[in-house]
Amino acid sequence: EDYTMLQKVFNPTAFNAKEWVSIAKNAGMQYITLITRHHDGFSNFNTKQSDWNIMNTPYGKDIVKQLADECHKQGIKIFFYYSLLDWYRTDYQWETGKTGKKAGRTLKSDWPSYVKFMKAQLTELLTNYGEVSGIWFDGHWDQLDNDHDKTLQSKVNWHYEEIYSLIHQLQPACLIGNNHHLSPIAGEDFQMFEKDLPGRNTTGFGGADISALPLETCETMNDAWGFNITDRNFKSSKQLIHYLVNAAGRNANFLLNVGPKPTGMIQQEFVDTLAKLGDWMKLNGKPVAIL
Amino acid sequence: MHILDKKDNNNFVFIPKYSEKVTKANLFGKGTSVTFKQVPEGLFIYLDGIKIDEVDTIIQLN
Repeated sequence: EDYTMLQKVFNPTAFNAKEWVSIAKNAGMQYITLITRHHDGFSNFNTKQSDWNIMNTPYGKDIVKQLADECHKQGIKIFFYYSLLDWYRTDYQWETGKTGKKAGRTLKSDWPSYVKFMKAQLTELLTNYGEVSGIWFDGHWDQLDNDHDKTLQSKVNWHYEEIYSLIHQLQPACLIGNNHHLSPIAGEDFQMFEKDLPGRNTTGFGGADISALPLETCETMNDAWGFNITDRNFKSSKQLIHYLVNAAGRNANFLLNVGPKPTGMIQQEFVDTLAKLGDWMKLNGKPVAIL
Repeated sequence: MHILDKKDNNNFVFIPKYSEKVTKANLFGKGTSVTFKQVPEGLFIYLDGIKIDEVDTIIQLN
């Protein structure tokens, strides 16, 4: 109830897609993975499937479209992050989810309805935004008792076969990755490791076997995924370069997270560090470029 | 080969079990020739005269 009040005030007027893409490109990045919908269920795009979206805010514009268009214009690939779990919708099987317990939901879930919702949104994303180079799924782990035991079965049927098939039918070249912290499932095109280099398990939820698929590891610039004004634990450009080199040495792409400010701008500490990474990449990027 | 954090004072780096034939070694970006020695146990890269970069020293092996 408290969180939904943000919809009335969300207004990132300083968002500038050209600036974002330029910052990424100058840093030596080759693709951007944009949040289309995160665990809060809020869609950053013009979806017809739910009113809980950016068009119903004071901002009222589709930032996914703006960023996708700018990526296509500047020749950098765009991937879409899409949350499997949802803290807002009542049709999501929240009763068995590990998270979102205090969201205030009381209505019984309706799993077929939720799967239908996801497929409809993915169809929107893959038909209204031009070429999409990948879909980055996250949240499978919500329906597991824990992340350590890799043999546990999910409490829901995620319908991956039909979802992945839908994606590949709509855009055959679109790569599918899933941050389930497991070995790849049939239909996935790359394997990702969250906050760990492939093969390592410093987080406690790593440890999946390294597959033969293309690999990716993701990490934050400070400690938080989203913008956190109190999080001053910034990684230095040296630390990030070392992470990049270690990822490349393990044949993995490095997806470096940037959590923008509520204004739509990227905080100056990140901009400065990304510029330093870009300077290094201009001289030394060739040995670490994998994509 | 990337030297990220050289803690010892040795004037060489040893890559154990490196069996691929190396014919040339250069400092990446500068082209400076780097001395090396390949033995059955691995590969020695000698760093005499090589400026170690505080972030990353890249030796290109061909």
